[in-house]
Formats: sequence, structure tokens, C-alpha cells
Amino acid sequence: MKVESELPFESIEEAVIEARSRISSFLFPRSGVEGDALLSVIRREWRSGIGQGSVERIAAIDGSNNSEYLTLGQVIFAVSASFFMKDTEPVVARKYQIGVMDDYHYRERVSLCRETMELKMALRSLELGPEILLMDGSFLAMVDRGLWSTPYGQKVPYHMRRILREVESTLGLNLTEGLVSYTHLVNLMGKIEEIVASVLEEESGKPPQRDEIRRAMAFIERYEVLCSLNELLRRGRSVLVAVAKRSSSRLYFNSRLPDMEVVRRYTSLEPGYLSPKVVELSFPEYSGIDDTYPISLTYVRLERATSPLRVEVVGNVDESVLEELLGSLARYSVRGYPYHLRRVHELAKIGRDLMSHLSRNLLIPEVSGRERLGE
Amino acid sequence: MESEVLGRIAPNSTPVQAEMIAYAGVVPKVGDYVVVDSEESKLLGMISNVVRGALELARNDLLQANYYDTILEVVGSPSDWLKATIRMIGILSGGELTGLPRAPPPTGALVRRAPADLLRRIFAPPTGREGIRLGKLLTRGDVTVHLDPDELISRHLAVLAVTGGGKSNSVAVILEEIVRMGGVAILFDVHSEYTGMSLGCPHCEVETVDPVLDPNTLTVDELGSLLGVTYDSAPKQFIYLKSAFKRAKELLIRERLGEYLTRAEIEADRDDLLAGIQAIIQLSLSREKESDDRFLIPFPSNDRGSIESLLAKVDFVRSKYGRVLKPTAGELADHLNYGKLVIVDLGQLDSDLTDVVVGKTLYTILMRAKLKRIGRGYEDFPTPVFAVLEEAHALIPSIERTYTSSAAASIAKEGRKFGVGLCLVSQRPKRLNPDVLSQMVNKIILRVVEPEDQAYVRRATEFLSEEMVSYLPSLDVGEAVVVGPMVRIPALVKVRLFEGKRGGESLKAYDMWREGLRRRLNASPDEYYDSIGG
Ligand SMILES: Nc1ncnc2c1ncn2[C@@H]1O[C@H](COP(=O)(O)OP(=O)(O)OP(=O)(O)O)[C@@H](O)[C@H]1O
Ligand SMILES: [Mg+2]
Repeated sequence: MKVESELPFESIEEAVIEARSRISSFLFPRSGVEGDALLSVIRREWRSGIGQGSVERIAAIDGSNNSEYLTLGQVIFAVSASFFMKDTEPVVARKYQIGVMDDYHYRERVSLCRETMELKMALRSLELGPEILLMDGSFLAMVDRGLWSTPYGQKVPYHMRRILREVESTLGLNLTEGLVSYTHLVNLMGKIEEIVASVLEEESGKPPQRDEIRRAMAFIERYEVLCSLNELLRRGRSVLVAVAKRSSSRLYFNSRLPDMEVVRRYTSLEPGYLSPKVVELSFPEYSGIDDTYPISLTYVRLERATSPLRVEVVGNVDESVLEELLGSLARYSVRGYPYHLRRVHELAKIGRDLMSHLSRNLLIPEVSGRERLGE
Repeated sequence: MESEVLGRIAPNSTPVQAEMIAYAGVVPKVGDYVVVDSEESKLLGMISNVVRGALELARNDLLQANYYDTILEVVGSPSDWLKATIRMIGILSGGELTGLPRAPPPTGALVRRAPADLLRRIFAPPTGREGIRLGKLLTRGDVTVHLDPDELISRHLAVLAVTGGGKSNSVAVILEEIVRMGGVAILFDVHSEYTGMSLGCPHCEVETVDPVLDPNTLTVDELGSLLGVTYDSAPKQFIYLKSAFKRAKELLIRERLGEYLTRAEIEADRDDLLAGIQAIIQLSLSREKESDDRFLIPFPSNDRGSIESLLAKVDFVRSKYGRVLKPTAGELADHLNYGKLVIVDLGQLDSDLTDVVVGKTLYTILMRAKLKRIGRGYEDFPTPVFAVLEEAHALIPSIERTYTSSAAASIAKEGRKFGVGLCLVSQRPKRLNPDVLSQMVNKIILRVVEPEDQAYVRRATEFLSEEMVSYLPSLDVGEAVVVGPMVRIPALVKVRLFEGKRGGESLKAYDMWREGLRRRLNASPDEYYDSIGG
């Protein structure tokens, strides 16, 4: 046994026992002010049971992305977006974008690319006239990306406005068009980089660093998402619905627990939903987009004893419209999740296997074998 | 379509087996033949298993069919996938089949359905000869399967199936074809299933004979096993039997047997050897001490009990089998001839006697064929002979050695040289002597349900894969896996229905009752009571 010492020597058992009660009261605030307050909100807002919906033309969009190091500083990425609609016959569509990029913030940039592709696929599919267009995730989360909002954070240099304008006007580009992300198109990438470099040089009076150019390019990628989203919300409005299986959003209850946990714990196992809470979607200032959109936010359990889903419906919808919509989703739900979304997920999926198959078999033959990292 | 494309070879193929991924909409069938494009040659294979799935339904949390309903309502029809296992059979060169491939087929190789004319060529009768028309390929109604009679005789045959699986029908088909060719056949009909059978060709002859046993042709050993007295089980009795046998034989030759029969007051033919044996034993027991009759057996008094029980056995067998034991009846083998089927109706006999009758006849056939072959007599004995044993598991059981099983083992071993082919028919393969069964290289395996039987059949059969065995229970009546040198490649065959008349088809209970009831109701009360003896 150690004699008295300044420094502690804990056993892990002691530490666990000490922590356990604190952790459980943090995770399960069943009693106390917070728990009771939540319970009363739930009692007021939770609607038990979901009626039968009758919407048939339900469509869904999902995307997938994956990437893998190709050399020490470059990654190969593959992004997909897919579409599925149940009409008299099922309609499916899928688009891939595959390329190589510098490993500069590549994870964020690959998911930006996916968002762009999903949004563009949604824009193009509006012509087919779906009555509900389901998207995987959250519109609100798309505008508010938290810490990694842009490569500059929230403080975007003023000259980025000029760069965007010049890119659009010089190349005659409308960034909301097409099905893929423009900045990753091989034939455009070089031209965009040239424009970026010349503006940067004019602004600072000296040739820009390589990193500066990359940073600006990444910003353009982010901007492409935002303006595509704006275009979609503007044109698609009433049919757009975003569904998330997982979310740490606290927007509804403003509690320490994520909303989803609240619903999971404090509601019965029966199907039901929360009365919608309307929040405003607005774009960050640096984007220069002034449009705002009301979003009706709810949580729903589509099937008995399944996990709740977070649902955003674009527009200020009243409860009867919402119930009709959720009823239609429930009708086509499998294990509590709209089957259309599951289907597009499966169509879009880009797994590890596919990635290694891609980099091994389809890429430039010279970059293979030992030259690839980690082999 | 002659060269219908089925799919492509998946990775991990071996020279023996490969997996094929099927094209959308193609449903390969187990038992069907395929041709695989390999590097230089084409390979012939057989589909031994098919697995099917649907992409949209491939999740293991869909534990209620309601989910399937929802999914199917949304996607319409699911995207099916099919994967087939192919067993390689051989290399095809110029339409001819040569040995097994040494290298696996390349991944991605195209797999086609084997064209019908190729299969027709493979299953055609051997060139220049007739074949035994057995039936059609199960998966190809347009390909007739013929068996090679030479291989059938020299490598023997086992016909295995559950009862009602179609064994007897298959046997009838083969016998008909053999006899039509001029063949010599004998069928041991344990359950009188074939009595009244007729074959549909002008020169074909069928003779049903009652089993008769000429005791005078029996050896001491044969006699012993008929009496249940063997050297191992009752040595003393066996020795006395042997003495009595020798003496009776001598008396028979000297034409003095009648004398002893009269003295013993036994009513029997003057040349009935078994009766003579009984007489000698009986007289020996009661002879006066000083008798010098050398045809009676002297014995010490403490052997009296043994001799008395031997006498009782002889007496018992004589009265029990009196109908069958016919002195000077000759041998069953005497009835054999070209273009003729001899059916031995064993329905009335018990198993001991059946064993002796069958075993003895088999030995006789083999012995005569042998002597003929080596030029020591029996020049007129018709060969080759095809001998069929129904209920073979009873006659050639795995647990004990019977007289028939020794005879069958000899034929299995030597029959090939002398022209005796054996056919064993059984619904309990696992009770059949494994050594003998494994020598039946040709096999017709119809529906087999019992797992132990399946495992047993698999062990005794070369080509049969695990999957094909698991397929055996689902075979319909008359559908069979046919393997062995009598077919050039293993085949799933729909055996044709025997066209001639055969007894023993499944009873039609309903029809028979209806007919009986109709007759009862139509009959006048008098006739009715007459008919039931009232
Ligand atoms: N190839 C066939 N095609 C059509 N029907 C068949 C075929 N083979 C047999 N059958 C029918 O099935 C019935 C039983 O056949 P079979 O007597 O040959 O069976 P088994 O295996 O010999 O039966 P058991 O073990 O009782 O002797 C027959 O009545 C016959 O009509
Ligand atoms: Mg039968």
C-alpha cells in the first residue's frame, strides 16, 4: 500500500463507480426539472396513431460517397446520387462522379460533392412530378454545417464574392445545373483555377500560394451546394421532405438531450408524431442568398416499436396535411423507415469493396500496386 | 434454342466444380447439362444445385411477410439473382467426351445449355449395338437415355428407392429391353409382384416357375443351412448329418434307398434323399446293439440327444417344405434361355428357404457359366445371365452372412469374367451389405428419403455430390439419378412407364372399393349371400 501521497492512484473500478451515478443522471433525466418539463411538452404535443395516407407518387433521393488515398497527397473519390419513384412502374436513376483530388479537407469536400449531386438529382427529378420527394438527412443541417461551414469559417473574405461572379460570368456557368459538381469536372477545373488565381493575384499583388487556390476552390464547392439547395427549395417547395434516422438536433425541445432521444424515451412504443414546429431556414450571410423558407419540423414513429425519425417538411404545413403525408410514408414503411429511401440508399451505396475495386482495376494502370499508399 | 446462354463462371472455380452467376431472367435447373467455354476446349458439366435470392429482400430483419408485401408493392418485381453449382463431367472435343478437366474453367467464361443433339449423341445406344431404352432426361424431354447392356452385365446394377419409388417399374423396363435383345434373365420375385407379367415383343418369353429345390442336388452345407445345422452352431449334429448324408447318397446310387424308407415307415419317393436321411437317422436310433448294417450310424449313448434333435429338424423341414422339396425336379437354372425371362415366385416361402433357393440358384448359374467359359461342359448353358434380386436387403443383409450373400459376393467378384450380371433392388439401402453394394457400380437411385439411406447411397456412389443427395427426396416417382459405366455421364432420368403388363402396381383402393360396393348393391340378395357363402 502506498503511503499518503500528493498524487492520486485510482483504481478503474473506483473511477467507474464514482462516475456511474453522474453519467446515468445525465443520460436519463427522468425526474427533476428537465425530465418533468419534457414530459409535459410531450404530453401536449405527441399525437398517438397515424391515419392512412393516400399519396402514391412518392419519390426518394439519396447519395453516397467514399474515398481512398491513392498517393501520399491525393485521394480517389466516388460519389453517387440515385433516384427512385413508385409510379405505375418503378422509375430509377443513378449518377456517379468519380475523380481524384488533393487531400486538402477532402472528407468535407467529398460530402459537399455528394450534397450537390443529391440536390441536383432532386432538381432534375421535379419534372417527373412526384407528390412527395423524400431526401435523406436535413435541409437545416445543410445550411448550417457547424464548425466546418466553409474553409474560411464564417469569415469569408470579401473577394470570394468577386471570384464567384467571375466564374459564373466568364464560364457562363449556372452552378445549379447538371447532375454533378462542376469544380470536379476535369475540363472545367483548370479554367476555374485560373480565374481564382488571377483574382487572388490582383487582390494581393503577388502570385497566390497553392493552398490559397485550393481553399477558394473548396469554397466554390460549398457555394454550389447552397445555391443548388436554394433553387430546389424555391422550385420544389411543397413536395420536399427530409427524413433523418439519426440526428443530434435539439431544435424542438431545446433540451440537453437530443430531440430524438427525448422522443425515443418519453413516448410509448405506438406509432405517432409530434405536432409540427415551424422554424425558418435562412442561408448564411457569406452566401449572399437572402431567401428564407419555413420548415415544419416533427418527429414521427411510423411503426410500432421502431426508432423515431426526424422529418422536415418544406413549408408551413398544418397538422392535417402533415398527418396525410406521414400516413402515406407509414403505408410504405418497412421496419419503421420509408421503403423508398431504403431503396435509393441501396441503389446509391458505394462500399469499401467498390472503392478498392475501382482503384485497383479502373484507374490509370501506372498508379497501381506498390505505388498505392499502404501497400 | 440450341445454344441458350445461361450465365458466366464466378470466381473460385476448381477443375471439379464451379459456380455460375445466371443472366437476369434465366432460371437454371438442377440436373441440366451445360457447356462451359474454357480456354482451348469446351467442358461438359451438370448443374447440381441452384441458389436464388432477391436483392431487395436480402435483409435479415424482414421477419414478417408483411414487409415483403410493402417492398414488392413499391418495387414491383424484385431483382432476382441466381447462382448455380456446376459439377464438371468431362472435356468435349469434337463432340466427343474425354477425361476430366485438369484446370478450372476461366472466371467469366460463358455457360450455355448443352445442345440437345450433343446429349442425344452421348445417350445414344453404343455404336453398332442396341441400347436399353430407359427413359428421357428429366430436364430434357427430347433426349432419350439408353444404357449399354455390356456395361450393365459386367458392372452389375443396384436399384434403390423408397417403397413405391418406381424400382420394380425400372426393373421391368430393363428386363423387357434385355429380353427383346435376346437376353437371358432371371428374377427372384420375393413378394410375387411380377406374377402374370408379360413382355410386349413376339419372341419374348416369360416363364413363372415355382421355387423347387431338388434335395438330391444339395450339398451337405446347403442342406445344413436349410436345417439350421452348421458346423459352427451345432458341430455334433452336423457331423451326424454328414454321415447320414453320405450313407443316403450311397444307398441312392445303389438304388436301395426305398428299402430303408419302407423299414422306417416313411412315405416318400424312392429317390428322395432327404427322406432317406431321415430314415437312416431314425433307424440308427432304434437299431439293435448287434446290428451290422453298415448304413446305420453307430453312436455313443450320450450323443443320443443330439441325434434326436437332428431327426426332429429333418422331420420338421420335410413336412414344412414338402411342397418345395421335389426330388429330381432339376435346377431353376435349367429354365434359362435366350430371349426369355424366368420369374421365380418366392412369395410363399419363408426367409430361410428363400435364402437357400436364391443362393443355390445363383451359385449354380455362376458355376455353369464358369464351366462353359473354360470349356468343361455346359456348352448349351445360355449366357450372359442377368439375375435380379428384389428385397435385396433381406437376402443380402449387412449384419449377418447368408447363403445368398456369399453367392452374390462371388458373382460380384467373378461374374464379370463369366457373364453373370447381378441386379440388387432395395428400399433399405443402409441394411444392404456394403461390400456387395459397392460392387454394383451401376446405380439407378430413385426417390430416397431417409437421411441414413442417403448418406449410405452417397458413400457407395462415386459421382453423387452432397447437393444431389439432398435432391433425392424431392424426386418424383420414376425420376432417378443414373450413374455408372452403363451411361457415359451421370444423368437425371425420367424412367419410362413399363408398357407391358406387370403385377404389383400400387393398389387403387378407392376404385376397388367402389367397384366392390357397386357389385354388392347390384347383386340380388341370393347371389350376394351365395357369394359370401351364407
Ligand atoms: N417411371 C414411372 N412413370 C410413371 N409412373 C411410375 C413410374 N414408375 C413407377 N410408377 C408408378 O408408381 C407405382 C409404384 O412403382 P413400383 O411398383 O415400381 O415401385 P417400387 O419402388 O417397386 O415399390 P415397392 O418398394 O413397393 O416394391 C406403380 O404403380 C407405377 O404405376
Ligand atoms: Mg417393387
